[in-house]
Amino acid sequence: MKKLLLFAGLLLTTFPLLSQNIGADMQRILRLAPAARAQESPTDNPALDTIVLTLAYYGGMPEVEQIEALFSGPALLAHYRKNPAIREFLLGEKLDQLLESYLPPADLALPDYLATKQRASFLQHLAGDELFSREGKVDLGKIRQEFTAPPAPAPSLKAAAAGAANQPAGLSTANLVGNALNGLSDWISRRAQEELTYTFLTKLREDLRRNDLNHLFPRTANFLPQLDLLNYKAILPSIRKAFTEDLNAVAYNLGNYLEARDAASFRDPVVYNVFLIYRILDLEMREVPLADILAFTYGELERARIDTRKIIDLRIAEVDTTNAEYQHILTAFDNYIKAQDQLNNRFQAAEDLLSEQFFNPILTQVEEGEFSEDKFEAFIIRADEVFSPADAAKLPLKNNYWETKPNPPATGIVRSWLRGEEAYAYYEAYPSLTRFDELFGPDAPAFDPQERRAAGLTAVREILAQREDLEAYEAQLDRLVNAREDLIQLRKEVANQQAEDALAKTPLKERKATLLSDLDAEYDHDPHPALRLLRKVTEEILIDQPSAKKQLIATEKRLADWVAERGSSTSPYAKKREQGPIAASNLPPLQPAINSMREAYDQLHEAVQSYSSSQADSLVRAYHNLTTFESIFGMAQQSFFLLADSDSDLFLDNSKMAVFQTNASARQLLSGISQERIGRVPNIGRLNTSGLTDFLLDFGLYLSEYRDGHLDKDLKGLSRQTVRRVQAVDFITQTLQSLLNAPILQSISEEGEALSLAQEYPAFAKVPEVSAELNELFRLSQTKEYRYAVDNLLNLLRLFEIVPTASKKEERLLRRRDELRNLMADYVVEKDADLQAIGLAVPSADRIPLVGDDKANARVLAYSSQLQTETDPYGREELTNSIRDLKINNIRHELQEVENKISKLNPQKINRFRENLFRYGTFMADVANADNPGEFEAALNSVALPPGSSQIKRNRPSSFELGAYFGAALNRERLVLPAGVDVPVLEEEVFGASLFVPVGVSYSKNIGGNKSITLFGSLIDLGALTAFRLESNSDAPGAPRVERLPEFRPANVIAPGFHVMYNFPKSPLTLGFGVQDGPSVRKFVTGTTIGNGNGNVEREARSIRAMLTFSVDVPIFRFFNK
Amino acid sequence: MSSFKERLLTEVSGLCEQLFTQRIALVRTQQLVSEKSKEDIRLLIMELDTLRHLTPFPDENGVDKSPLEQLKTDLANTDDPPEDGQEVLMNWVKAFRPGTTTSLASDAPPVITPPLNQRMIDSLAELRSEIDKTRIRLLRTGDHYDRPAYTAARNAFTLARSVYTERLRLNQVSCTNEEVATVEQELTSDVATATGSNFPDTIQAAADFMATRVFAVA
Repeated sequence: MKKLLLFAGLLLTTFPLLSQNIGADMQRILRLAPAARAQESPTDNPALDTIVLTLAYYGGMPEVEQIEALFSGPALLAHYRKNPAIREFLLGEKLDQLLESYLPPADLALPDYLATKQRASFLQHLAGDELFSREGKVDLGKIRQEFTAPPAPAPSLKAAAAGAANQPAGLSTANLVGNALNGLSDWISRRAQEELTYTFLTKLREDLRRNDLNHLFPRTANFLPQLDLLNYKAILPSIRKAFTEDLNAVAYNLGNYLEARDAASFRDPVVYNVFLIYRILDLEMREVPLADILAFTYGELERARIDTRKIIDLRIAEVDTTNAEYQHILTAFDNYIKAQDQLNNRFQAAEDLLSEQFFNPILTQVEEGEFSEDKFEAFIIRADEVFSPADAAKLPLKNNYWETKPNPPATGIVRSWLRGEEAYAYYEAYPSLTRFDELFGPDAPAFDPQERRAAGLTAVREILAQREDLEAYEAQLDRLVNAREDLIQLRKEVANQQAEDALAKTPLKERKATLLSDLDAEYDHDPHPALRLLRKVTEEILIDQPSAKKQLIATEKRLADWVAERGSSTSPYAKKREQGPIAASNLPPLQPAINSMREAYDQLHEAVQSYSSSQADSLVRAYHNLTTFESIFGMAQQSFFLLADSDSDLFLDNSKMAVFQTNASARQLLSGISQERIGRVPNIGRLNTSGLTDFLLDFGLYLSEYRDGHLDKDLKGLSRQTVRRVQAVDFITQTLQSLLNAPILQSISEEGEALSLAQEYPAFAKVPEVSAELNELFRLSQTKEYRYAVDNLLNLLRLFEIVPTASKKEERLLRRRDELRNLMADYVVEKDADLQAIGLAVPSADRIPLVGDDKANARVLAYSSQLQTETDPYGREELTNSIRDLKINNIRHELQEVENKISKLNPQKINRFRENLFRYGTFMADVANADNPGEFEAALNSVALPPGSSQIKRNRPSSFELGAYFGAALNRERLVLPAGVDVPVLEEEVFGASLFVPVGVSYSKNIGGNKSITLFGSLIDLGALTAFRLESNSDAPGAPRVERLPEFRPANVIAPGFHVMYNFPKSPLTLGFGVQDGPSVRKFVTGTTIGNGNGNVEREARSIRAMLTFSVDVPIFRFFNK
Repeated sequence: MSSFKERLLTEVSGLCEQLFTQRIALVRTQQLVSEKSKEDIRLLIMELDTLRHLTPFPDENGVDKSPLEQLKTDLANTDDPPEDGQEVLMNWVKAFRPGTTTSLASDAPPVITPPLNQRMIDSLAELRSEIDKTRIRLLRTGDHYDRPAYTAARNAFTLARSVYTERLRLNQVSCTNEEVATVEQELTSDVATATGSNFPDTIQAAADFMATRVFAVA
């Protein structure tokens, strides 16, 4: 009690607030270490108690029993023995020696300030821990249930997105009508624009139908077909509403779109990542606590893993089961059953032997011994304590099935299932009405032979995954051997006690004679002076004296001790003392049975793996990816646990982490504790402690900012619900990115190099980028930054590799690329210990095919031939690794080449698809964001005149457009006089200059680089009105005269022509040469009378011009381009 | 099955059963059932099973049945049953089918035991464990039992279980669900709840239960 008070006092003085988080806990250890050391004794050392409590907490959470087991110093040291940081800290602080003999005070318990529920909630039991097992036992009932259940619906991105998009916030559509109408009020000036807009909307409608874009923009797609687009002005406000809603929900609609494009393969971690984001967002919006979300997500992963495993085994079970490899599994499993039965029988026989040859004879001996009540009770209790634990120990392979009764040898069920049969013999051996209902009841599910075989394979994998159960037999063997020795010892003690009691009842005279006889016999065997002396002592004991009995007992004891000290096995006295059967029965051969069982496991594993490796490999990779996701969420749980605060705010403030930046010892402790916790994550692999610590500090900083919950500028003014959603997506995606990019893994190849999960597992390489883009897309679509959101959308489509239908060549390349990617993935998957455990592995890297050029092949062949002659095991390993690395490098190289080819193969098709999407997206964004007539007009203009469109005719192989030019022309003009007028002077060609403003159609062809030639046919030329003749008229009276400028009349705009243009690269400037018929009306006088005509009367003639032009290219509308 | 084979096997089986009964009676008077004692009788029964599956079965004319006849006569003399009867029979069987050696159970090749037999084996192991627990309970509570009766019953139980479970394991005999239910629900329960006054009887009941089923035809 005194100590508890002292302990409490120490805590209160040291940490008045008693807040609990990793910073406070580590600081507490650091502060108390000197006090604990100064005490020099592990007992009555409250500071040491606190250190033990804290380390036990981090070593045992969330299991209270495990924490309490670590309260003992030796147990704590043993637990942290593989944790260099903690080990070195304890050594450095000289706490190790104190802990070696530390025993917890009887009242030591986890204080409330440590056992906070909030932190513990992050470590709540995860449903994903066991797939087809329960409490470490193979759950055949669940396996059967899984295979008889109707096929689980595939995870749906659409459904997940719909759940997450519950009540998406829309934008107000007020004032739209007025803006739109005002913006279109001047119909005359916008007539051409209207035509173009109509054309654009028609094309948009068609494209939405064609490329599944209706899933991306569903409201627009639903709305447009119902409308009379000719009357689009009136419906623009409605269109705008649809645009707004679609853009607002584009982050959710992406899921629908991916599903529609068959891109939503959940085998791809990139897609599954999106699915998880939607699911978590849905839960977050329902205000589910973060810890529960993590646990729920684990459940989802479990479901996905179960389904994948089910599909894998169903597919494997589809194949011909009479083939040799499948038969090999059957034989191996039969041998496994035999070995297991033999093992269990031998251990049962050993327990029987202990019972029959040791335990019960001892009880009989005690019963017959006529001992005192205390002695009797003590012997019985000891016999019970030695024997009963060994007898009651449950052998795990006898009890490794989660069925209705204990110890059913349910391997019989698996054996039948593997043969596609129902296990009636087993069910009849363990009958129950529930079983009857399950098999024959009205709702009994069908369980066809293929499902049975698949269920059998699943069960076998589960059995293999639990092969560590065999270790319990080694422990039981030790227990039995120890029990046997202890029982032999007990038997001796009982016999000795019996002998002593008998001796005590013997008359002193007889007793003295016996002692002398024993001494003589011993002396004959070993004539030692000690025996002679003892004999003399005995001779002098006079039995009538009161001290005679004590003297005799003392002398007998001297003899016994002396003989025992000599240790002679042939000593007559020693043999006499040896009571009971000299040769105790031996236990049956248990170790060979364990070894046989181990071999049976190996054979079964080899058979299953060999059979599985050639089947369903893409599913194996999918399973591996799900396992990796499980690791990611495991990391999230442990990180949140470590960085949680016991205060009401969820995560600890960054200031509480400052100690780890400034204090090396605190950092060392953090390193050790993080290794302890993150090391528990399933399949996490070898950790890089330095990278792990850095990650936690960085992640802590992020969580600290998240905890502060400050509102970004762009979120101000949005509804509370929308803000919450944006922040939730930001938190989810940032967390995923942090976890995937954290350099926490230790590279196998290069010592010291840290790898992230994204680097370790290539299939996850793009996941962080996708998360970041999705986050941006989500945020921008909610903050009405639609134009930028379109960029993110396009980036996502690029990451998802959504491209239009490929050509045959492209298909071939894509196929090859996938093959090579799979080979690379196999190489990664092969290292998955979890998959190896269940015999679900892809072909070994040794069997990876050799790709690449002759040079690489020659190197591999050279290594292979060296390998055949190499005898040194290290040399062999090095050569094997070199061959494997070379093969992997070759594959990587070819993969890069194939990807390059694909990117160059047909970029136009992909680019056109993306360009269209960009065009539609930005148009919709601009329309949706138009708050006034000017913006509305600008949106429409951007469709008609996309900025930079003059570059298209320069960059693309060819294009056909409606366009105009604006520039100047030098020309040589010839007047075409009316019929009957023949004045040669007037018909002479003269130079002229004019503006050049033609409108017409053009066909352009690229001639290399960004240069191109355009054939331009004009219909009108506004510049013809300015066609100025440079030569002046003669001033002589009666001389013919021509007006230097044409008449200003609409007819003069009509100026059909044909031009060849050279388009300068990277600029809209054009140099051209062409002919034009126009201006059509130029006045002239002949000066002299011709026929009946007066020579001074003005008459009209048209002109034909050859023109050299220099102008700016102004495309109006592109009909097509390649 | 030829009539000769049938007759011979019935005859030998009968002798085996008599020897087993004799051994059961013998161990009731002993302090302990030795491992050798259990193995001897198990070996003999396994020999009988080997004989049953002998192909081709020897012709009647070439078989010397006189040792069997002599053993039958000796066993019929209940006042002085032969002590070496088991050895005589074993030697005769070995002479009948020379060239092979029967292994002890622990060295025999593993077999797959039928589920119901396995359940019976497990239940009998549980019963043995329960006997030990009850004995400890009675000793600690001072509820005395008849010690000679206990020893006799316990030895009979040990020997009968040893032979019966081995035959079950090798599928030489089979059991029924009712029999298993009897062991689990009645015999084991009786032992678990036994008092000093009926403890030996509950063990004897279990021993008798097995003894009568050792030679049931599979």
